[in-house]
Amino acid sequence: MGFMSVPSSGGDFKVFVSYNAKAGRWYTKNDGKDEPMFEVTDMTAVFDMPGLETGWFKFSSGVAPEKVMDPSLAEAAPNPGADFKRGFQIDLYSEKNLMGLREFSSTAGIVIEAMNNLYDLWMAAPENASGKLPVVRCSGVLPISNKHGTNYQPTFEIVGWTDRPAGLAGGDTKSAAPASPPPAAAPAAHMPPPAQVSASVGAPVF
Amino acid sequence: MSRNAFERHGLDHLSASSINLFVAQPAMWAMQKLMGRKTGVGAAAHRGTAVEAGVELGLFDPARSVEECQQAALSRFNTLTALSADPAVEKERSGIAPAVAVALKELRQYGIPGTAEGSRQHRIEVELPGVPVPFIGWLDFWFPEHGIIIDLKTQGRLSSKISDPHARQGAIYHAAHGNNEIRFAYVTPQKIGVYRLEDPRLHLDRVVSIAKSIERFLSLSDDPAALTTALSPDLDSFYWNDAGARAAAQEIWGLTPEAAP
Repeated sequence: MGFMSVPSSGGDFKVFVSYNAKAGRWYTKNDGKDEPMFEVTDMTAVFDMPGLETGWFKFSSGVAPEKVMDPSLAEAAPNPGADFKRGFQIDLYSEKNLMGLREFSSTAGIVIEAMNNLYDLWMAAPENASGKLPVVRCSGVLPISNKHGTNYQPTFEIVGWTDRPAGLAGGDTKSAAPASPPPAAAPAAHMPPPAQVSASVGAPVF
Repeated sequence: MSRNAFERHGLDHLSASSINLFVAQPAMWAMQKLMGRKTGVGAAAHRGTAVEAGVELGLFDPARSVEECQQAALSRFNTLTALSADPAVEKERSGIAPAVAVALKELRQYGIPGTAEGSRQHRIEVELPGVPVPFIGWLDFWFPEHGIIIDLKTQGRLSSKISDPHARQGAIYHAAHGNNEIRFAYVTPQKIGVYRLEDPRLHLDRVVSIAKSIERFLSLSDDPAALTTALSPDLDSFYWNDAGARAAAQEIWGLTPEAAP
């Protein structure tokens, strides 16, 4: 079972591919109501990197995740409320391994780190300028131990490049530009305070 | 079971300040961490502590006036410097009240920081791959409703960007709270700049690299004195301004500061 529940198909929801960080394994299902989850044994797919989006996610058991997406990678949306966490979502495509188009999203820190690494690889690759999309493989997992126990961080590598598959809609390139300059480069920009969500007392944490 | 090099030297954790000191002044790092010789800090460091105390008061209690927060900051500074012979005390004191006002005006717009079981500062502890001891630190201000962690830094002149040592500190925070954005608020008596840490992973790689360098250094000998005296302090650096630090240097290395012309 993945770390998020898969909503029933139909409506505006895409079928998910999920990553279980506790097990270091990928899961998806066929498109259709009450389809069972199955493990993705070869996690190789076309990643729609230009369409990568970030935002606030709230995963609750048994219901579709609530999302408030950022206007761009460089500008975060206001936190919509308690229990929302920062995360990302991206479309993946592989007829052979994923049964078609799948949406991958996560708010797990170690998964975000892995996606950040992949994002940097994609940005730095000369093939990126060609407009082709990367074919990405999860080549392994890396155990990360902290106070939450041991979780497994996926390791992504770009194994090829391809034209945008017909089954991967969009082509939105709004996020293709780097979100920000690299560290220690130009002077940093002053970050304004976020829009106020509440003036109430801060939530107890930990 | 054989102990790792950190444990053999009685080091059960690392911190951002520790690895940054190792990079900047390895001899002082060894003197403090291996020889146990603590050194004092100057008035500028006390200024930072004092400003943070005033800002903390004003952020957690919006009913407090700016003047009350300034007074709290000055009281803290006076306590910290009561026995200080640092000639910069008066200069640093004069910048405290305006810095508190500047910081509060900006940071109160973020709302009230979260608390952790009654404590205003949040302890973090994170293990990094390849580093056998955890990193420990404390977050200044965490705004969970915005997913933002802010670390306050006081300065005489405003930085135009996040320094590398601060970026490493932020990267450690980010490793502990990956879903949060890390910002550094640099405040002077005149203005404030709040900058976002843009690529924590890059800096985290450096953190791990430094930690491994420390481990390799510690592996060279189990004798803390041998390791410490294998290094040589840069007494010209402000790190060694403290009289206690200089005295310890003389004890360990037999050095006195080179006379000015």
